[in-house]
Parts: sequence; structure tokens; C-alpha cells
Amino acid sequence: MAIVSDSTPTQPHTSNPVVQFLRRHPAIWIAVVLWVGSNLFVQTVAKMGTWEGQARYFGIYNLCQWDCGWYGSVLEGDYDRAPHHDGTANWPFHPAFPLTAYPFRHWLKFSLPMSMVLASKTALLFAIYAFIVLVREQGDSTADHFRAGSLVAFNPYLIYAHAGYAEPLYFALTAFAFILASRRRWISSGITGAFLSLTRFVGFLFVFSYAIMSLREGGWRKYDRTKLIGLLLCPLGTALFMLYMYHLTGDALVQLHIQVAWGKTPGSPFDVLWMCLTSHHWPRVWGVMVLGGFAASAWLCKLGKPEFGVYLALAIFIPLSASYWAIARYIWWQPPFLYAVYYTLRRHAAWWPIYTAFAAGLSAFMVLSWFTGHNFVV
Amino acid sequence: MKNTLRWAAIVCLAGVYLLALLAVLHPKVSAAYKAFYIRRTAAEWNQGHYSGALQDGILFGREGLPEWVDSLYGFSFREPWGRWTDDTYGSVAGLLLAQPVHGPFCVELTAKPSHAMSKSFVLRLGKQSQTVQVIPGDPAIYRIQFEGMEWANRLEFVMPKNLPPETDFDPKSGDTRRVGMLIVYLKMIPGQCAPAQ
Repeated sequence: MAIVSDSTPTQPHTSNPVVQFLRRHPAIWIAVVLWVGSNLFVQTVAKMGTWEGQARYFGIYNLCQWDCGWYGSVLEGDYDRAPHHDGTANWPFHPAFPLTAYPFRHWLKFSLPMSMVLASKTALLFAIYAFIVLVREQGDSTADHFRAGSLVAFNPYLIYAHAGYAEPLYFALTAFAFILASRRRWISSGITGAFLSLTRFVGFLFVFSYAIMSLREGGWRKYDRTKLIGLLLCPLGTALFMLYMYHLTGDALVQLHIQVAWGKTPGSPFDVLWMCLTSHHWPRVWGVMVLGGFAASAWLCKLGKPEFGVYLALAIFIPLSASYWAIARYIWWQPPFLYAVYYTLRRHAAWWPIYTAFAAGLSAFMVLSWFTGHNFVV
Repeated sequence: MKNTLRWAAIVCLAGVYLLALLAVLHPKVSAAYKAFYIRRTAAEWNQGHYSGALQDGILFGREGLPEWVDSLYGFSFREPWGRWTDDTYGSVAGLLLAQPVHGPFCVELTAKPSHAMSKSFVLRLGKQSQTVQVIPGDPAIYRIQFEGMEWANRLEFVMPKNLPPETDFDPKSGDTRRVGMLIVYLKMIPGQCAPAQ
């Protein structure tokens, strides 16, 4: 079957407005198709895991594990006023993602785990769509859209998009913020950046990318008030969250300070990286991924995309300065990183099958590990 | 009009960031919270309290803290025989008292030095300091007198800085902590220390 470009003007005429709309916006239906495929993939692999008697999977609500429970506690009972007896608290888990689960929990009356899972799955749809739009400049055919969207829908760390985590929402908001800034819609980009900084701690870093993009348009001399408002909006989510937590606990930096309860203390990211590379098994794999992330960051800068490169480098540096745990998902759920992957695969199309094999294998392995109690998936 | 609104938005946003900055600079948290989460000078959070008066002292190997001690800092984790001061958490280990004390006090402690501690350490109660010569070997009893002291709410052990890790002396131990004194028992007695027998 030949794949025809969406922009081809010789498409058969139809009077159905929905079809016409989807023809004008192919990224939407492509995102839906890939989203359905992604759900089927996770469902199938999880089911197969139960046949072998190891995976504990009875329904999609079982996907809600590890941090999903923490996010759920935010939705169900607000933020803790004081740490628990073991020193932990739900403070590192920013509020934007749990808020997106609110309609599922309180309007549609789903259980808490189900609501969290559905919220992340819904966000995945937007993440796929946003990434297709983000990389559209690289190629605008249906096949291009499918390839681009598949990088998100079949991400090696796909499990986090289905497990009640904030990753897909974070990814979608980051991509939208970049798209809006590239279209010089400064206020909209700033507002999206504000929601981004309310989703994950590193979201405030978008302010640097925004500054780069807005300064590129005429430098300081043409930096008008609209751009300035957009810039000031970017970290607003972080600031409001800090003020709320100060009101609740007396500490505006709880989301950082609480990390000590999980054994994470700030240090040199290079020490952590060295420790990863000189260790065995997963830490070394993660160390190699970090190197890949930094290489992608440098390459994006060389490609004339410093806004992507700077964002990616900082978004890796900050979590890496505390620990290597979870660093893989922090890298793989960054739009700039997948942008670099997409750009590479477009230039070297022969690598697509190799990448696909790698992504499919790792994502299936992660899904199985998710249901068999391994803590490296946290 | 549009211009005014823009300036108003800029001022409001700047105001939010100013408030956030003030909140960061002035945390309103307990000393125990500050020690564990912010300064990272405490090994554990929320050790729990049991009833006990100042004269009853504190057995460092026991779980929890007596009511007269608000929190600990600069100590390693609890072991059945006591707690080591640990340079990882800072060179000053201490007890934050639940209520400030004043007047003459005798501090009686049972303690043992690590391999790294060969000379002395400083015991500080409020603004007063006393240099204590270490007694090598097994745990020994130390009695330190503080005279005419003003209100004080901290009793601190000031250890030499940059103590080497225990593995430097006993590589087989695998203990990488930079420990100073093992405190087994501590008691604060109002008045004068009993004469040595």
C-alpha cells in the first residue's frame, strides 16, 4: 500500500466534515491510531506475562504502581502536612498530573488507581500528537508522522505512559511549549511553561529555552513586554507550588529537601555518572544513556537548536546530581531527546529497524518487569 | 490601557517571585526538620520520644529520645551500644534540648574514642566551652562542670575536623564513617559534679 502525503492536493472529495477535518489535520488521527496501538502493546505484553505465572496483572488499574500511588495520595488527600514516620512524604510529586486525574476520579467515579492510569494514558495521546507537530518541519508526509509518533507511542520506557506517572503529561506540555514559542505565541508558550513547571520539578527549565528562542527574535532591543510576560510566566507553576507548600509545611523547597528520605542528596553529577559507568548491570546501562543524552544535547546545539540542547542537558544534570535512579525515564521522556533520535533516524533510515528492535525489546521487558516486582523500574 | 495591563501583569508576576524568594529564605520549620532535611546533619527523622527527666539522662543505644531532648544532630545511626559522632553529618554533634537550662550544670557522660580521636574534643553548653581530654580504650566516664551558665538549649560535641574514616585504621571493618566519640550515656545534673572517687 502506497503511503500518500497528507499535503497532496489530489485527495478524493468528501462532504463528511469529520473526514475533511481529519484530512486537514492528519496528525490527529495518526496520534489516535498510534495511541490505540500503544495501549494494545502494553495490554498484550502484560497479559502474556500472566500466562507464565509471574506477572500480577488483572486489569489496567494494576498498572498503577510505585510513584502512581504517591500521585494518587495527592489527588485523594492533598499534600502531607508533615513527613511520615519513615521520613517520606508526597511532596516531590507536583500537582498538575494528579489534577488531570480529577475528572476520572470525581466526575466519572473510577477507582483511584484506575483514574491515575486513565489520566496518564490520556496525556499520552496528547504527547504523541504534540511530538508529531513538533518535528513536522523535518517531514510532513503521513509516513513521517507515523514514524515520529511511534517514537513516543512505542518509547522504550513506554510503561511510564500507562502507569499513572506524570511523564506523558510532562512530555506533551514540553512539546507544546516549544511549538508555541517557535510560532512566536509568547504568552501561550509562557502559560504552557507555567503548567509544565507545575508538572515536574525540572519543568521550570523551560524558561531558559524560552529566553533563547525569544532573544533570537531581535535580541534585547526588540524584547517587548509580551515576550517578558511570557518569560515570567514560564516558572510560575514552580513559584505557586513553592508558596503553597510554604503555607502548608513552612518550607518552600520541600520538593527538594524531602529527597533525603530516599537517600538522595545533592552532589556532583559527574561523580554520579562515574559511579554509574564503573558499576555493573543497570547503573552502567543508565550511565551510557546519560552519555547519549549529553551527546544528543551537544548535537542539538550544533544543529542550531540550542533551546532543545540546553533544556535537555539541564534536565539531565539536575536529577543526575542527586542520583541515577529513574534517570532513564527522565531522558527518554524528553521531547528534545526524541527529537535528536528522530533527526538521526531520518538521516540514516537504515537504522530504523535496529532502533525499532531495541525499543520494542526494551519496552516489552520493562512492562514484564513492572508486573514482576523489580524495583529498577521505579 | 493594554500597556497598563501588561505592566500590571509584569508587576504581579514579579511580586509572586519575590514572595517565593522570601519564603525560601525564611523557612518556618522545627529544628529537627532543619537538621534532617535542610542541613542534613541528622541521620534519622522522627526518632519518637519517651518520658524521662533531665536527671535520668539519655541512653544513646535506646530507641527514641527522652522528652527533655528535642532532637539530635551530627550523630550516626543508633547502635545497641550507643551513637558515634559522625563527621559525615558535620564536625559538631549535639543535643537540642526541649527546654533551655541555666545555672551550674554537671554533664556526665560515658563515652569511648574512635581510632581517629587521640587528643581532645570540646564540649559546649550554650556559650560555655570545656576542652575534654579523651581516655583511650573502653568506654570511660567523663564529668564536665559548667559554671554560672546563662540560658542554653544546646549541648554540643565539637570534634576535630576531617576525621579519617574507620577503614583507614581497620580496613576489614568496612566502616567508612568518620566517627569521633561513641556516646553511650549522657546525664545533665544541676549543680556541681560529684568529686571523683
